[in-house]
Amino acid sequence: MSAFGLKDKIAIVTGGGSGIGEAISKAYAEAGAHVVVGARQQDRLDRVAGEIREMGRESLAVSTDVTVPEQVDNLVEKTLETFGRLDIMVANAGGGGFSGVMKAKLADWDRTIGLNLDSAFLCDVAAAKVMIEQGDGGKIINISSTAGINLNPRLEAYAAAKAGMINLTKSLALNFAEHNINVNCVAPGVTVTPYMRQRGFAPPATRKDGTAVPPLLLPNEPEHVADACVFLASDAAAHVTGELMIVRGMFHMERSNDVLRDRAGLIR
Amino acid sequence: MSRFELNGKVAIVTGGGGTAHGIGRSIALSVAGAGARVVVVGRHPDALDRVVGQIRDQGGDAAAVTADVTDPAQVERMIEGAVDAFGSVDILVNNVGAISFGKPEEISPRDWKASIDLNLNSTFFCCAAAARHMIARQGGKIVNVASSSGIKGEENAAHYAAAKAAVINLTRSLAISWAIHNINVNCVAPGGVVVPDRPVPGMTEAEHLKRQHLQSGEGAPLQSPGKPEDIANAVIYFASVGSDLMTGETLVVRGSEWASAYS
Repeated sequence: MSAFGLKDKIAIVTGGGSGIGEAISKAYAEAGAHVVVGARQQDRLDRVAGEIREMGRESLAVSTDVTVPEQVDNLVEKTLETFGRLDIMVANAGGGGFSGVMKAKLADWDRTIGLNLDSAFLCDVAAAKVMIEQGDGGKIINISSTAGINLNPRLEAYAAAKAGMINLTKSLALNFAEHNINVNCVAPGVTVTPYMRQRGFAPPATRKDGTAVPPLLLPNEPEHVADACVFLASDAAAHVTGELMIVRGMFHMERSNDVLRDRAGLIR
Repeated sequence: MSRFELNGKVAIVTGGGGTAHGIGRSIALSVAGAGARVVVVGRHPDALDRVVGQIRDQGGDAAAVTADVTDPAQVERMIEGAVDAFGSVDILVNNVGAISFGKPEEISPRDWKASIDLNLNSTFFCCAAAARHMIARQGGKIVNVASSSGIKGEENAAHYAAAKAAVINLTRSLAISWAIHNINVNCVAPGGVVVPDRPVPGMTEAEHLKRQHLQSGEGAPLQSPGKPEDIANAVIYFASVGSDLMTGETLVVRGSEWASAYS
């Protein structure tokens, strides 16, 4: 068995019904894990859970609003009822758009912080309680964003929340080290999800002059983020904790991607 | 199929004889175990031959190239030797390096230069020589092995810590420069790794005893020093397609020992 495998591990992936969360869920199943997907939209979760079962792994879809403590607890309880344990928690749910600092109301700020930062806190702690009780360690992975590192004048609440996740990761890593629970953070750069592709934000793989864009100058596919999450959840990363893995190439250097670069706030 | 295999790849591992901590030997064996053919590089032919023998015993393929990587001419010959043996170089692991100790105010200019030569200059020479080969092939993976000392600083090893910090920054510059050639350049920064029974070269007996004492605690694995395999697995990750969209990054592998002001 490779140190990078997840055979028969039990994982929860929040926001697992679409985008990066869907890719993580499927990559975990591919690596041998059974995956519980949690998000608000049941139909999306059911589709992903069905696809995971077709891969020969078990899956459970639990409709969850990760900003509500009782619902996060329910997600963990349903996981224990079905699988009897929990090995991996991926706090991936999140999101946020542009707001504009002068127009934003406190309620807008609270909503974005709640969805991105409170949710990670709730999921991480709920998972850690179970892992401490089990007594044989665990893996917690928070999905932040390069928005939490970059300068970006148009994503203030989202960026603040994602920066918060990075530091939350370090605090929890120290708290849980004695229980051998690894807590790490993945910060994806611009990632072309199916949703973005549908809306025309997929970058051209070839330039106007017909030359190919070098792969390292393209944005992420969701699978690239999922690879980092498989590594961090596996025995191969047994001694990695409190760390931040930034998943991005040098997309910002490629001039043919202006539409997407603009959306990512990389052009001003 | 696993995204973390190295089947069909050719990897150079410098310091692969593993004469000090055994990290280099572990990397060479693990990279071979992941499917790559490995060129084991170092100054001591006996140590290299032992590792090559171990790789062959576990069913892998390897070759030894004796070189002092602080010498650019020998680095060029190292690349030629690898190409002669296996036809190409897909992966370069710059593991050569060693800590030495001394109060900063007592480090001689000669010792300072020796540490920079061994830990930093060797890395640059190997990166540049490998990249000339990789640019022609429009692809490759370079993994530098730095140290958490290069982030947090190190008491009584200022020359080593400064060189390792430079390796971390060099990693970024090379990543930016070579992204257009599809060469990923990343870095693994180990924290404390279980020390061998005897002091590593240059380590005083007192320092060795201090480190042994530090690792004798009964903490959880995450509160204890790492194993060479922990470092090797991170190297495999950065050598594999699983990290295709990561470049310029440094992954620190140190359990929870980073609880200091400068982490």
